[in-house]
Amino acid sequence: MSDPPLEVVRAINAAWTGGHARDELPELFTDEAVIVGPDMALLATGRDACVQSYVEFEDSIDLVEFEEFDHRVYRYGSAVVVDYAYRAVYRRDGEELTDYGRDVILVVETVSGWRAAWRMARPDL
Amino acid sequence: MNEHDSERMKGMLESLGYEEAAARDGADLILFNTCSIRESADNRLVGNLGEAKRLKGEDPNRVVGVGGCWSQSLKDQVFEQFPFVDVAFGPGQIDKLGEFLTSDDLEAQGYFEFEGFPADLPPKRQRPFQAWVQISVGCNCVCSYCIVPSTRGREQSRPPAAIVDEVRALAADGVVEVTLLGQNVNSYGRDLPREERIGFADLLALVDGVEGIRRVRYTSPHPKDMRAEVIAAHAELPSLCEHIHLPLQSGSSRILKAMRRTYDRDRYLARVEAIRDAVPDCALTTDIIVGFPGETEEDFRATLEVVEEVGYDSAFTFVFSPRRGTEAARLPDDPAPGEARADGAADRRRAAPRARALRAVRRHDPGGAGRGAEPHRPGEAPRPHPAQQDGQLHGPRAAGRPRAGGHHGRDVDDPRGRGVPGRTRRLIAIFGPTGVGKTEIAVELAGRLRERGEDPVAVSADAIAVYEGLDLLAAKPAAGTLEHRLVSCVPVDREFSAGQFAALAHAEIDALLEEGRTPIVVGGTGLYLRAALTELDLRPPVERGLRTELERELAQVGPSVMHGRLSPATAATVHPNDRKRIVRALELELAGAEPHTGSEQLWSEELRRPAALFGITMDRDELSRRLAARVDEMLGGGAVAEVEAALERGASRTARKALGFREIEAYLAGEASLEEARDRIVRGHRAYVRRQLTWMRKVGGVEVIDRTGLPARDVAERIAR
Repeated sequence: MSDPPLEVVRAINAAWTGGHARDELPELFTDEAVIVGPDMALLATGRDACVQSYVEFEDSIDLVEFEEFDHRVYRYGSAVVVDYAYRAVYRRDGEELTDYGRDVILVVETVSGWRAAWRMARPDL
Repeated sequence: MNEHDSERMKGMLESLGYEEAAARDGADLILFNTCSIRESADNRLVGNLGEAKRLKGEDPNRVVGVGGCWSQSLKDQVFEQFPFVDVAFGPGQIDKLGEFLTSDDLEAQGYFEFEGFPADLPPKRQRPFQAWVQISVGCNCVCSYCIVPSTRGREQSRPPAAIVDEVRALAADGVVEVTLLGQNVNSYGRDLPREERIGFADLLALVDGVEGIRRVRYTSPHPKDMRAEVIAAHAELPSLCEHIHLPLQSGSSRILKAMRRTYDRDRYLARVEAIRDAVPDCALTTDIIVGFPGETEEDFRATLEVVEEVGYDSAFTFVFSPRRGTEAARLPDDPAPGEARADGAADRRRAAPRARALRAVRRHDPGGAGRGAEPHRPGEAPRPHPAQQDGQLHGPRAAGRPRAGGHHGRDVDDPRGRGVPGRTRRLIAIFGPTGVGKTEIAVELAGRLRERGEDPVAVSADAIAVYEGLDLLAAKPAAGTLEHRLVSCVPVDREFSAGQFAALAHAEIDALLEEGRTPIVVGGTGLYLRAALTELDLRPPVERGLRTELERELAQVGPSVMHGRLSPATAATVHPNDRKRIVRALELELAGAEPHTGSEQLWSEELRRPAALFGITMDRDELSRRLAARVDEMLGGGAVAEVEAALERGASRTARKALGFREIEAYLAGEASLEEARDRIVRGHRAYVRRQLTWMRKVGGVEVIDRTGLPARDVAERIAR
């Protein structure tokens, strides 16, 4: 049985890890979506800026491996928070790097379907 | 502290003509009082704000407000990140909410500057005989893990005259017990003007002197400020309870230094000794953080030693969670030697067993740990002990007795019974054979619990539901019916053991109870249920090679020879023909584990948390029909494709144990027709159900409900009662 909010999160990661962030991500975020850092500082405001942040990251690295795990799904009425850990191995400027972190993504149901409305990126936790 | 603020918000809103709505959809105002102490608060708030956005979309006149520490830490960013929020305010700014709601022009507005104590606002007390009295706000400590100084600011003491006036008014209103509140209560008074400056011990004496007040408590004190005069007050003041909550945080001086707690292990123990000298019967409770960055096994052992030495009556043990903007959130998590970091969840994995170990130490304490007062989190108001719930003056030791009394029995006629919000929560476990309808009962029960103000969450205790991608085989609950934890949290290619499950389940259950929510543990896998509910000593998995070797040997020499190798104690509990258990028992003995003791002994007396256990049964024929229907539904819904996908992803040995997996695998390999596979699955389910029922009959302390012919709502009603 699929879980649409979880599928949104997986689709976001599938899009950027597959090199399709520019084409596929706009359909996965709400108009007013925001991305914040671990200190809650705003990193991107609005759908275009959110997508662009993925596109820029995607363009700046060569992804070797990406794994998401330890998913926790919290439901609050119609809203769902998906909290998961990830491991990303990638090359940048000739150096291979490994990032660990957790993402917290608020997924809400809109007239167009489920969309990510808020994301907190917490690298190195 | 937050609960205290909430009471004041409620009181103020009622004075403005608002009433509590039964559900959010019917509310004109949706208000969140927030906390920044714990990481989970962020997730919960963000999720609830997501729901509030939808409701605001349905009715734009609905007001959404966010108050408290989280709001204070974000300030105007609340509006940037959540543009539908109308009003945001920090702690101590509750009066501004009233100002906003009564203004003619409802433009979004934030209030984040502390201007004074909100103590004059009318409170809405949850317990008529008990009240909280705020004596200070803010904190001058610089504990590296704590966000309070940045959200509540520097310490500001409230004038003693105002405090005493409030206590007198409360006493006149029937209150017999007051709890003095502050982030660091025992540093009270140092910032007061010279002409009214008094210390915390002096304040305690003033409050003790108020006529009608029979019990005085306080929270939270800091060990560094636990001075002789405060300790002496416990020995001298008639109403001051013989209970001190003395947060330890860690027993390792090295970690205490990293935490910037300003005391070390010896200094802390000296305080304990001083307390015990002055008040020999004083109950001591504490807070402990496990898994602080860089904590080694040696540091943890030091904490265990202090816990054993002090013999706390109760403790709140929680796993370190980094809070944004704190020094500790930036500390590297240097792994201890031999504990190389495997991935991002490494510290959590280390911390959970450590937290369990601490709880185990407390349980062995003859002082009665875990049976006394519910511990509370730093920076939060304490949860009431059952004795506090009804106004009793003489509760168990850990509740803290007043020194003088003669007030046996109830002081206040409090008619509240079970299910009243705020009562000490306990968890509910629903179990029974596959197909009996546990999930639908849990969903119905959740509805009943919500009606009486509880906030239920299901915790799945199912060996297969943990796996991602095995939705049909595990008959996972439909999304949106009831929040389920420990579902789809393990990739299908991973091995997973009951020991790993126990760590996750305990962490989930503890966190839910700590958040004031009601966990409903639901499952049919006996081992996983016991893992979730008990401190079952689940031995680590033995090396696969050893098991293979034993199985090979068993095939060669036969079960009776292998059975003869078991110790007499173990052999007495294992049937000579039970090949599987013989191998497992030998594995354990070779690994140096305790003799096998029979799986049914670990139940009611050893529950790690108070729980109500409900076993659901059903007429065999009816259950059999339901099982067959379930298998058909499973196959019709795409179980074959599910197994195919799981195999492509490298399904692990433990994932392949899902009922129906092997049979479908055989069908995919062309070894059986779909019809044959279906019949085998039904037979497999029936055999498994027989084992589940046999096991269930042996379990003690369980209320068994036969739901033959009963709809889920009736069963839920019975459980709710």
